[in-house]
Amino acid sequence: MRRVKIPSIVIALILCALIALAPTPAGLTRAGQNAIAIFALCFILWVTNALPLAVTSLLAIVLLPVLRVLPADRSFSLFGSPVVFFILGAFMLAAALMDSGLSTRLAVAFIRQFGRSPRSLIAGVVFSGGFLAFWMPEHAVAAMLFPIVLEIGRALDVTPKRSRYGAALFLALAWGTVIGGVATLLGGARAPLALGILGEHYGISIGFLDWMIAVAPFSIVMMFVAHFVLTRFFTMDIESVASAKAALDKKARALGPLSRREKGVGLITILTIATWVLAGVEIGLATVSILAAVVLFVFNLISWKSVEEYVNWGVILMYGGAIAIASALHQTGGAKWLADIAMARAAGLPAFGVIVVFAVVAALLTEAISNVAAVALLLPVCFGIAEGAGIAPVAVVYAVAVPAGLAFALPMGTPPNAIAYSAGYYRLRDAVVAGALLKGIALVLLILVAKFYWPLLGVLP
Amino acid sequence: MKRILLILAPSRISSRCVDAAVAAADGKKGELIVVFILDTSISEEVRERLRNLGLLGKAPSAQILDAMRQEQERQGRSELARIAELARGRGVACRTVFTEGEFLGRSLEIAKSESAHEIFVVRRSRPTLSRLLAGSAVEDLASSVPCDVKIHDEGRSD
Repeated sequence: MRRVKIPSIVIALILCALIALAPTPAGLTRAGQNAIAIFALCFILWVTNALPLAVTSLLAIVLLPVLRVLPADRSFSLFGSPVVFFILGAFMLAAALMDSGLSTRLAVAFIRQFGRSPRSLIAGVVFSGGFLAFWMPEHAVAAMLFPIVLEIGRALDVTPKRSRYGAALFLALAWGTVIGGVATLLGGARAPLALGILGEHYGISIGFLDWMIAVAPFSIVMMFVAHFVLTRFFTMDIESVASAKAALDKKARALGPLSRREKGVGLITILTIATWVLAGVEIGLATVSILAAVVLFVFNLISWKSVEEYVNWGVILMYGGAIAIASALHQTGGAKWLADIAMARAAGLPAFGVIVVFAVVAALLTEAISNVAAVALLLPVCFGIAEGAGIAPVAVVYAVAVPAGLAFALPMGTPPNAIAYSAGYYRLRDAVVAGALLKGIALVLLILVAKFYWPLLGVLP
Repeated sequence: MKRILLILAPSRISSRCVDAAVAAADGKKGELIVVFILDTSISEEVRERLRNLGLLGKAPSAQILDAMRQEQERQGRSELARIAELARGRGVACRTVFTEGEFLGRSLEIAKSESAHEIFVVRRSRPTLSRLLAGSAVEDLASSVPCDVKIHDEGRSD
């Protein structure tokens, strides 16, 4: 692994230096050129994963003042973006849900309702993963569901890599959580990150409820599609799921009655979501998020140790850095210059065609790299292109952030895929073939949503 | 008696390789030693991916790795039992070993301690570019042992 890292870092640094030292082209400022150089460096490091994502962001934050793109105080202040704190609070809430055991209880209860036949059990995994990822980060849902699905697999005695049902079961875990993760601002950090970049560029935002209304129907339909693909593509090579049902019943009994802590966490979660929906715009998503985290501590529903165990603090660095790069590209005119080059090649394409291109590029890029990195890399340039094409920036956020969350095929696309694949129940080619099929359907459906549904909401003209 | 070593790991399982090893032990009237290595370097890779790229917290990462380890051990022991039954069914003397560690290092140790005459091993399915850049543990094994090493690709014809 180390042998792969060094060449990638060296190539990234050389490319950055070459761009920064080249003569400044007409229409581009020196600061804009340097911002593009840093952008290229981050692009290579994020794509190759040569450094942890958060470390690449740190490097960018440092290079911005060093190369005189942004003043140091401005560069570092972007770590304090409200979306970073929204994500942080949401992760703390998810930590309380997991640490209290409430998320496991909900998942077990949900899947048990579907334990009638092999097909319905697959539906149970898809929908429980999807529904939970509406309210918790999708990677946390996948991590929580993983041991449960393993128990189901063992109870059914499905043979890894030989049983097609076993393959479907674990892909259901990955796909359900991935699809549910795009429905709200809580399912993954890419949507809040997109809102952060939107806010930095244009000073506007999208409300919690507005996002849900625009995307959740698509997400729910996609869960049915995923279930259809899984149950048609993979042979249901088991007769009964009675043993899985028995294992889930046993697990439910072992969980015991609902504890006071679970009730408290559940109540605060419901109140927080209600506040995001009803007053998120007025109070601010981040304010609600952090307030909810504080209330959890006040009522002793979570300890700081648990938060440290469940929350990866690299998120602050990752998102702060990504917002800083996007902001630098925008402020220096670097994004506009890159967009003009792209627009020269896409001249004559109607506005809706440009939206489709954004969605396709985001959907493809997210299979190979982290979906957060895909948003961070694409959005600044797409905003520039959209300005030239007369497309509203809010539409660009939906067109990039939603497909960027739909990684179905490769394990490196998103943690739920990596987690499900690590169980060893399906082969890579199963995920690639079935995932490509689901991706194709998802893109067609998303384009239809953009064409016929989003105009009703005023997202697109 | 010739000792035929079959080395498997969670991502290095191939029915074709198993059949070839059993047939070789049968043909040479040798002993088949089946080793399953719970490859800790893979767990480390997954841990790094979940923590650094997935930005997953320490506790959920540990829970996943723990569940994954238990599952891989279960799969490994079950595979060893299946192969032992298959070999004995064909009248081949068979011994199984379950072990844990870094794949290449443990493979070399066992090949040496068992004085293997022939080794059957599975090459993981991964992109050619990755293999070219990061090298191949199976190729390293083949060049480090004095005996013949038969390499089968994971997933092919399984």
